[in-house]
Amino acid sequence: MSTSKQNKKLLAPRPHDSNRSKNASVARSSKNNHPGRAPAFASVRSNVVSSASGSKRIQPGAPSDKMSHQRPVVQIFDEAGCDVTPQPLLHMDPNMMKKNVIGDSSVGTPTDLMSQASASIYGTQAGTTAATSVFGGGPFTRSVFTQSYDTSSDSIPPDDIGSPDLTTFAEVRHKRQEVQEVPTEDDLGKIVDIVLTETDTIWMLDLPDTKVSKESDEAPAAKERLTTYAELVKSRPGNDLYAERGMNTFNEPHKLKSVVTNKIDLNSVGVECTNWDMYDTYDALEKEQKATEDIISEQSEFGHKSQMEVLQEDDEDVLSEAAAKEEAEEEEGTISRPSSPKEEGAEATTPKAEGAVEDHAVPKTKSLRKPYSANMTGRDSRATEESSMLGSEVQSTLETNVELSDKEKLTQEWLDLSQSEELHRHLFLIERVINLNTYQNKQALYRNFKPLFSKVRRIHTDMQFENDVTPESHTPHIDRSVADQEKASSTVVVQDMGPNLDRLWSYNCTLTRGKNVSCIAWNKSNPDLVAVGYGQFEFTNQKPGLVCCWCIKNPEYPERVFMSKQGVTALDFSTANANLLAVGFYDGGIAVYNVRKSVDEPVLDNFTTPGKNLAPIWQLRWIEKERGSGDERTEVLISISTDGRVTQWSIRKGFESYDVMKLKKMPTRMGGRSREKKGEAFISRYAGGMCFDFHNKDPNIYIAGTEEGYIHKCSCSHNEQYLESYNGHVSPVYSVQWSPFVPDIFLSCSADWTIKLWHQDKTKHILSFYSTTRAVNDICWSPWSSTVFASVNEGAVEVWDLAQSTLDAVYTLAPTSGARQTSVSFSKNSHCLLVGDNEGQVTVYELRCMPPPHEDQAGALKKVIEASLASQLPGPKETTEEGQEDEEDDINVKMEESKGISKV
Amino acid sequence: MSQEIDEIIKRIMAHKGVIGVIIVNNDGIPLRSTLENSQSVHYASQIHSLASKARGVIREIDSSNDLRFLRVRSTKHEILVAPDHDYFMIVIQKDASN
Repeated sequence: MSTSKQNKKLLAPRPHDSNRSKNASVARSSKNNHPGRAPAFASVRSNVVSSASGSKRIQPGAPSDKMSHQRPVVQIFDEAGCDVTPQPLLHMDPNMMKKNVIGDSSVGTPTDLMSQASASIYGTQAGTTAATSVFGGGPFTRSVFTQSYDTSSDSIPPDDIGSPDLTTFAEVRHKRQEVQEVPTEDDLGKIVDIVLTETDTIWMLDLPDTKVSKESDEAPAAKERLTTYAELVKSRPGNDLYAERGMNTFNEPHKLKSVVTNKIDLNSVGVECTNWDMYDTYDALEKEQKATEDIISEQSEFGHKSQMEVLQEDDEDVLSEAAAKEEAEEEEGTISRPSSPKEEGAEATTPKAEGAVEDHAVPKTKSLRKPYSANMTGRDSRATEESSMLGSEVQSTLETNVELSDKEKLTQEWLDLSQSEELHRHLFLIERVINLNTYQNKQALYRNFKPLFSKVRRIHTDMQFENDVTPESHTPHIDRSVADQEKASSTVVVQDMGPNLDRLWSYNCTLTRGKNVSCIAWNKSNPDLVAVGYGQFEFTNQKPGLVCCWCIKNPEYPERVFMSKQGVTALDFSTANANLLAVGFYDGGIAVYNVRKSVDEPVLDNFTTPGKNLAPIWQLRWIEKERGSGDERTEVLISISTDGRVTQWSIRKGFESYDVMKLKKMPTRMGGRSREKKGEAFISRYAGGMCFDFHNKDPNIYIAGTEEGYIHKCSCSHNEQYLESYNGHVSPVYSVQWSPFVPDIFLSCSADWTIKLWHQDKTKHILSFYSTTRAVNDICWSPWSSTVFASVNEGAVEVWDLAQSTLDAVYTLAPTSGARQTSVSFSKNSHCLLVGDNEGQVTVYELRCMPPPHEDQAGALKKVIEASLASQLPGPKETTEEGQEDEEDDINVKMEESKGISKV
Repeated sequence: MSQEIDEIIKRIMAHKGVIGVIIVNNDGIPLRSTLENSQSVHYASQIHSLASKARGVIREIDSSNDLRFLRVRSTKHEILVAPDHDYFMIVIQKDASN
């Protein structure tokens, strides 16, 4: 700028010298007048203002020539006589000035004038040339003007207004400044919108009141303060200490300074504090304290007393505690490796602790540290309960995190996750829930609840609903549930039918396909759990056996699966320890499994025990026996097998066996003849045992069915002789069962197509049931009704109710699958029947519409028996001679019965 | 352990009406899924916020309680959510009566 100024200065025409002189005179005068006056610009201003009133400039002692460029030239000389006149900063362009002068007579603001003045002052010498304006606006010019004015010598006349032609030097300035309009007459009539606004309240000082409760500790002090102050106020007026005085503050000039910074990034961080957040934090605190206590107790063993003291410090001082703990850990880390996992294992979730134990020392302390750091910050509210889990996860990720891509990280995460038990548990839960969704109605029926119906469906699809109701509703797939309970119209239809079996679902899965169901056993403590054994009956068709524990909550897959090499032929759950399941195999072995664990290994087995049965075990029972001495009862396992032995096993120490009975073969008796066949070479002296059942009330007495057809009543105290023998069946007796209601009655079924009802005092059966020409594989008394029992023959399931009919089954169901039914069992807590077949399916049927059981169950059965006895030919005595006659009679009766029965 | 888990997932998938199984970690990235990725992510993001809200409700009422399971039944499907601290398990099952 200055250079340009210099250049321009050279080109400046002469006439400016006159201006300069004029200025000088003015300056001198002004200078003389106000030598030390600092804000000299004020004077300039005043002059400028005064000149603003008129278009002409009034200068004291200086004639103003409008059109002339003449100006008193200011010249400053120093002591040496050198011309030190400061050169103008700004050079006016004479053309521009002319233009401005002619065009615009308005003067504008004082700043404008001042700028003009500045222009005039500085532009005198150059005059014609105009430099570009330095400053952007009015106020700036003023400041610079003053600044520059101050820096320059005082002799510069502030008030050289000069000619108006120099006044408006920058067009730019004009544009920025407002033009003052002179209001005309018309304007007075105009309606002008005036907006009145109130500015925001500017708070200079805000001293809010503080309130103190009267009862608080601070109240008396506060009161005192108030009273002293009140007194002070009172005493103020005439007091010497207080005097009125006015004050003025300096308005320091502002200095603008600009600084360049990087962009400041603003982050919003929000923390939501919820109830459980706080709970978690406190929980963590408590756990920490427990941990410290454990550590203290641990360390006291090792004699680290210093740390104890440190640790017993004020608990509120978290930092020190954390620091102390860290120190303790480090020390502990060097000495007691096994103790630290223990503590962690104690409170943390077990699988995580186990994971942590395997890691090294350093990350170990880090994992312990995690809860403390979490507590310290107090912000991380999630890392509390499973903080150690996080720690161990941190460890694992630390180990593997080195250079892993995202995908690999995910797979790693998945692997870690899949090891966790939590995931397993959740999957288990989900599977159950899904099954619930599908089977909810069935399960409700199982539990004897009314099934739910979807209201929506009813409204929309009434027709379809009607169609769904079939009279023979073996498999009614009722609609899925939502909300409302409504009585199905289908049950009305069904009720008219009489007793029937309604198929709910069947337990089967890929594992069991094709296997023969050989036995069903219910768990004694959890009546929803049923164990099913799979094994072939025939010798020729042996397959590896299987035991599956099914639960109604999941009909798709068993809860437990135990595989074995031999086919399973017998099962029973223990009463004393409901988790023990005894399994009998085709080869005579017995194994005891613990169903609590899903380990596929028996807890005990007798495969190598010398007393092992040598032939398939057809029945197993856990019996509570009284021990010799006191009232203690121990449970023993009784097994019966084809080798003719009834063996008692006790599991106290390993497997100890004791032959309760050896079933000797009875001398064969043909109908009508009582000769013993002599000279027959028996392969074995013993008859193969097929089944047995202990008496409900007397654990010493039991009945056993044999392959020959005999049923023997035996006692545990006599192991050579039978108490009684019942002869009726002509082929192997597959099952015997005492009646749960009447203690003397038992039921037996055999391969000779019949089911016989016996009284224990009579050697002859009371009733015989015959329905088809198929072997009856299994029977089961109903646990609710004394006169009801179910039987399973190779083609069908039959439900018998003796109160209704002793000749026919009340209901017969032939499953469409065509499989041979092999076993049946009533459910204890539901009106359902489980039927197993030789395809591996165990179907659950609901027994519906049975007449309600009598109040006097025993009486009802007895009545039936008496009635049937009465109908039989008279003369039944227990002696054998008469027994023959009875037999004859019995056969006659039987034939009559068979004649009267229509084949199903 | 992981084979068992795979087996169970297979069984679940084979179950009647099940459309998909998704296991999502806390960042919303599906770890295992039987649906395609876009769908999985879609479900994951929506369910995540819902499950967090549900958990907040439970814990707000009683801090010692925690969310165990969440089922959302709609006209077409049912969404079953088993949440945990590190992951969510989501199963979508179709209504069996449809």
